Amino acid sequence: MLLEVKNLHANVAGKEVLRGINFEVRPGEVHAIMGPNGSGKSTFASVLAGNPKFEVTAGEVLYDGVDLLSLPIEERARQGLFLGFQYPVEIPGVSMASFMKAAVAERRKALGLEPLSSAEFLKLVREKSKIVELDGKLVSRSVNEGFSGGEKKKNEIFQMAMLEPRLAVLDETDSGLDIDALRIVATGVQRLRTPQNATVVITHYQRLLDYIIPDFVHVLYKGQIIYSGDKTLALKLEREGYDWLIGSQQ
Amino acid sequence: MNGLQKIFKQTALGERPTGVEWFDAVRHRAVLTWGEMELPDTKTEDYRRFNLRAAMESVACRAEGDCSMFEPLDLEGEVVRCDNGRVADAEYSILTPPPIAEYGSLTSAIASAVLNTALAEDAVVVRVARGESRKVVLDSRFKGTKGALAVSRVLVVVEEGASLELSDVCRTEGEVVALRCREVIVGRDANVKIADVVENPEGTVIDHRYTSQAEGSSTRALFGDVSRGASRVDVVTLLNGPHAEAVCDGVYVATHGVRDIRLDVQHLAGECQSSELIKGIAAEGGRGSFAGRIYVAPDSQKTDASLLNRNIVLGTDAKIYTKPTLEIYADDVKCSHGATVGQLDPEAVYYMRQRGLSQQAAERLQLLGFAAEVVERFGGQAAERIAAAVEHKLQTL
Ligand SMILES: Nc1ncnc2c1ncn2[C@@H]1O[C@H](COP(=O)(O)OP(=O)(O)OP(=O)(O)O)[C@@H](O)[C@H]1O
Ligand SMILES: [Mg+2]
Repeated sequence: MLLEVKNLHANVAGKEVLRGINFEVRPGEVHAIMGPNGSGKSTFASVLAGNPKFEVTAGEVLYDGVDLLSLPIEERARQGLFLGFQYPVEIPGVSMASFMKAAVAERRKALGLEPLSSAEFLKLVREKSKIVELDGKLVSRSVNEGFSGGEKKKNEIFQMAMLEPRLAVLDETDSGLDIDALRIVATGVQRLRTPQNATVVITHYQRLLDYIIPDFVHVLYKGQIIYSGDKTLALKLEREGYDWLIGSQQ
Repeated sequence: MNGLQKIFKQTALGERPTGVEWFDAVRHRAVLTWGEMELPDTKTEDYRRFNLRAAMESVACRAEGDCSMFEPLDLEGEVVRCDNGRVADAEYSILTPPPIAEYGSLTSAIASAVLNTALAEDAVVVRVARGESRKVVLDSRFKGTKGALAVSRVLVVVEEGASLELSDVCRTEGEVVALRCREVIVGRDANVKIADVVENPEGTVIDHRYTSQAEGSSTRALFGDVSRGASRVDVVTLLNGPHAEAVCDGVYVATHGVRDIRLDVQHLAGECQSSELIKGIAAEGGRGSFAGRIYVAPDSQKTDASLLNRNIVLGTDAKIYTKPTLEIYADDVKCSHGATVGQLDPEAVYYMRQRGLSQQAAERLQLLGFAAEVVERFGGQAAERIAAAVEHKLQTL
């Protein structure tokens, strides 16, 4: 098992937003998490990543058998947990290149690999930016600064490609993308799939799942996973909305 | 009698004349001016946090230290070495050039400048002739123990249509007090680029950088100050003729001591442009103080000026003070000023940590990024040296 989440509860600003999540991911799987706005999807992703804004009040998360919640943010990342942000952060003055160079070095160190030479690093950048057709010029700019909404999302997947995570949690990576960009990004993610890694995509739209075919689709509502199914669930949700599920909850 | 008075007496009574007539004459005038001045302190000076009086009263003697142990500078250009104010190469000293009317012409009655003029025993003189283009590196070295005073003076004249790239690297060793003053006279349509780097620990640096620009001239300046000791600088820029342009940026990292910066840009003719962006980082009990002014004289219409001071404070015992002001006496102008004091962005730190960077690495990268804007705007070898010095300094935090 790559990820085991048991009865996870979390608060933000004194309010309970995760209310007992149970969730399992095996290597090679793709999971989709859907659910109405404000149901706790981003919170769940943030808690996995270790965002200090959220306080875990109960439950357990095992990542590759290790207690994930006891690891600092960066250690989780180095061990191969990647969060694609719903709202990527702009960092003025910090170049993508220097940021990624440091990030790749840390990831490689955790894998017991030597740091890349400058030439090797540049080669990797070229190779990986092709996967998401990211404009090479963006890599020489400051992190996300002045990037368009779509460019920011592409940039997240570019970083994912650079870091080769074992578990990628992509929070609404499809929102804000035009039709072509969506196809590019989604096929990019699809190409990064291996039997060893796994992907959790948080999305509102079935469209993305045409490219990234999920093994499981879950519905998160009011801080709990209230329903799980296969890829046909996404189609049903697209047609019928959440009412039929939420109704049975109340 | 205190140390400064003793030094003064020696100089004023002509016990240590330079023997260069024109130079001694200017010095004599400054001695007389000084006689009517008082050493200012933080009570008598507005918005200053470096106490000039206290620094000067701590002086006991002139610095006589041997400055040969500093690494040679790896910057391109004609290198002019100056040890505790003494110029190594006569070609660039007061001995070679004929009397220069411009020397001592600075019109800002700043106490440290008057004192510098009175006490200087030598000066770096660089004259870039009409239409010439030169690259000069000033290797300003200061060494002395506590109580030692070094007086260093620089005169740069850039004649009509000439261009100069000047890098002034100030390094100190020991608790020496460096009293520095530089006047740069920029002729019509001349172009000047100046980088000031203040490196190394411990010493106290008191600086006056004066630039006087004629019509159509353009200057671009960048300073970087990463010293550990205290420093105080007055940057004065006069735009005397129309269509002159001045950019003056700076970055400093204040730890331990105080960084006291005063910037004064005077638009004395219309249709000139000026822009200043000063970035400060205060950490580990350091204090940064910035007072900036844009002055627009009556009739200096179509002035375009902006002044911005941005700061980051780290920890609870560091402090930033900032006061940008506009003083405008013309009506058709475009002027802006502003100041910000902030902390590191926790969202950015979180984002970088999510990619595997340690908290410390993430914070450092963000601080470097904060400084990078001004460094990149300037560009070139000296800017790289400033960036490297800032990076090195941040690594010690
Ligand atoms: N920093 C915060 N302070 C206060 N409340 C918060 C904070 N972050 C999230 N919340 C609240 O927690 C709940 C869950 O938010 P979350 O962002 O996880 O929802 P989501 O499912 O990702 O929604 P969306 O589909 O709109 O992205 C919401 O009610 C939200 O207002
Ligand atoms: Mg969300």
